[in-house]
Amino acid sequence: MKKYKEPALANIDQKYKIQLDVIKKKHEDNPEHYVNRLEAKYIYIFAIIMALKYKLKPVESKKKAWIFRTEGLKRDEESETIFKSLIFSFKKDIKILLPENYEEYYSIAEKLANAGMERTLKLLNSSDEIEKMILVESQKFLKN
Amino acid sequence: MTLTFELDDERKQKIVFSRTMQIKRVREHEKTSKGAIMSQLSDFQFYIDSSGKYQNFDCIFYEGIEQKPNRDAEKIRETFFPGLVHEYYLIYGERFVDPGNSEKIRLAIERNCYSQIFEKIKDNLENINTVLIKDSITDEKKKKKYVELLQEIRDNNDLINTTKDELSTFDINAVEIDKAIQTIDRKIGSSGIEYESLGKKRDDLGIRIKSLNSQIKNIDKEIMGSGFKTLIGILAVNSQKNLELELGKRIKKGEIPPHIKTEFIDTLIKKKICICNRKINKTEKQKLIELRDENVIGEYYNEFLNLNFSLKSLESKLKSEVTDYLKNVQDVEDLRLKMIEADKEQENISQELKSLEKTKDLEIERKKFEKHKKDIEREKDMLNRQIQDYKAVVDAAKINIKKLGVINTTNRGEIEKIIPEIILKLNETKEAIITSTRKDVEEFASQTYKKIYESAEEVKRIELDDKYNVRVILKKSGKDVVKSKFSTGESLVFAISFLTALRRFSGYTGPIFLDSPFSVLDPKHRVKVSLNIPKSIPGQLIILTRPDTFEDVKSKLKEYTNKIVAVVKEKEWHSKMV
Repeated sequence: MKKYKEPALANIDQKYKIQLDVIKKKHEDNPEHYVNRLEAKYIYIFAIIMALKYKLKPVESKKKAWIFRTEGLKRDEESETIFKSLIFSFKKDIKILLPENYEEYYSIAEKLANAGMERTLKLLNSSDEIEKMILVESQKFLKN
Repeated sequence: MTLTFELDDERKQKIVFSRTMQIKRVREHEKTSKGAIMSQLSDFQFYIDSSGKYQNFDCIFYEGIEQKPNRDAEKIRETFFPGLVHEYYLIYGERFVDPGNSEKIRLAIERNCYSQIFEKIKDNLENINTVLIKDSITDEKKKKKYVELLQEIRDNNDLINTTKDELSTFDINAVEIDKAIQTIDRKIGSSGIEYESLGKKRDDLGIRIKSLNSQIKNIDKEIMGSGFKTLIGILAVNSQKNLELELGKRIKKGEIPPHIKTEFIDTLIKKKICICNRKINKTEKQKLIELRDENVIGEYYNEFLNLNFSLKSLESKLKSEVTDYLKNVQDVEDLRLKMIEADKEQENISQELKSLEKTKDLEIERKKFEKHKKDIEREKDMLNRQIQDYKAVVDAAKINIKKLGVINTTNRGEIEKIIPEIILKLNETKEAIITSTRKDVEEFASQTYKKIYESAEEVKRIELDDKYNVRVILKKSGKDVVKSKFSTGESLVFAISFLTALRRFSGYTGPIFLDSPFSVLDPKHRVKVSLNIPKSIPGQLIILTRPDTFEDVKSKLKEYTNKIVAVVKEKEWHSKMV
């Protein structure tokens, strides 16, 4: 079976990387703030979720910047599963999960992350908003 | 009130006795050898003083407009105020006459009935005796010695009197200090123990708050970490379900794992033959290609199966994660509420402790008073020893006089007998006058108190015992009840009654100044007392009062009011008469 090389880095538009750094800087005195406590891969996944939830149009990166190492995703089975389910949900073709489609797989992820990052950053700026969202969604989930 | 005396001498001296009103003397006062005579109100004129310095009945001495170093205030008061006026006829609110200070009351009564006059008479008699003896001595040497011994006796007697005066001042102070200590003790009461237990409670709460805080912090951290991941899980549920469904379909179809190897299909496509060795057409080839592509997924069947397991595991875990998250949130909320309550309680305790911290100050104050009391006791001991020393000198001088043998002169035998008898009688008379004055003051003060005081129906009488302790006897349910503690208003009424009685028996007729008598009374008592004061106090009354407390009583006092003088504040320290 042919071996395919998985990209080592997950990318995002550089402007969002910069914005994320700005938020981190803003809250650097508060190590308990979400932005300081969350790994980049979770923020990335969350951005993809936002894009899917609000059916946002995938956006090509004007200038790519890496945001996390894909190896980190591979080591975290739960996150990888969610990641795969999200990309499949967008592409609606299970082949996207095949190694031969690594490039496209990460490209879709990048575009979706770009699309949802604006909302994600906005939420990250306010811990209260995130907490409110977690609470509302949790209660909704349990009701269903 | 400020009493300002301007002296028409070359130095243009002025003395300001400061309170809040200004008075100028318009007629020269006459000084006698015993002090100044009682002044009438017509001797004074109100005027505005703008010296700008007001203290609590202190004396400021001026020459021209220049303020001079503080002279002995007591001496100035003695000189410029008639003896009784400065001491007893000016009431400074409720604190002037303290019903609890028996020493002050004793002095007031004894001075009012001129008991010192008897001492003077006794001195004079002694002098007569001395002169007679001196004149009868023919031996010059003995005469000289006698005169020297007499002088020694006189000097030492003077010293004894001065020292006794000093002692009585110390006695007054000692009574005041005892009272202050008693008041402090009452204030401190059980608050010391309370302070300690509250302090412990506050410390315990501090530990509890710290522990709650750390619990909240720990759960918060957990919530923050798990919360976001849980949110991702919740929001990705549909995507996971879609993928799970897709995988399920494929598994059902047998694609995962694959029935056939992809390489084998590839070989068939390349060789363009079927398993049965038949040549395949284009359509069949296309089908084989599709089959091979589908089979690729099957080739990764391990990964997809794992993915399927992982999806199922995520699904089953998510519910408990969400439940745990919400439970943690609820726990934090509960802990926060507990912390708010603990914080509030701690705040309340801190407030209580703050108020109880006054206890500490009171204890410090008490120690100061105790120290002062000890100082006074030491001073009193010293003065008593001095008196004993002076008395010993007097006794020794008397023995020496006897030794001189000059007293046994025959021509003064009768006098020698009479004078001690007269002195004895004088002492008895003095005691009788003091006692009768005390009784009269007791009786009159009692009547006045009953007339003025609101609850007069309850008051039976005021008692002044032979030690000058004041008691109000109330009649309650047919029984006599002794009241020895006075409220501020009661103290004021007692003070007014007492000084009215003193004035009556002193023979003086000068006006009575009442400085802000109404402000210490509540509105209900104010009206009644204000109406009763002019009815009960004969003679002229000058009442100094603030407009707010005067409004309530203005109409009631109208028929007794001769003149109302308003002092209007123009600016700081400057007022004008209207």
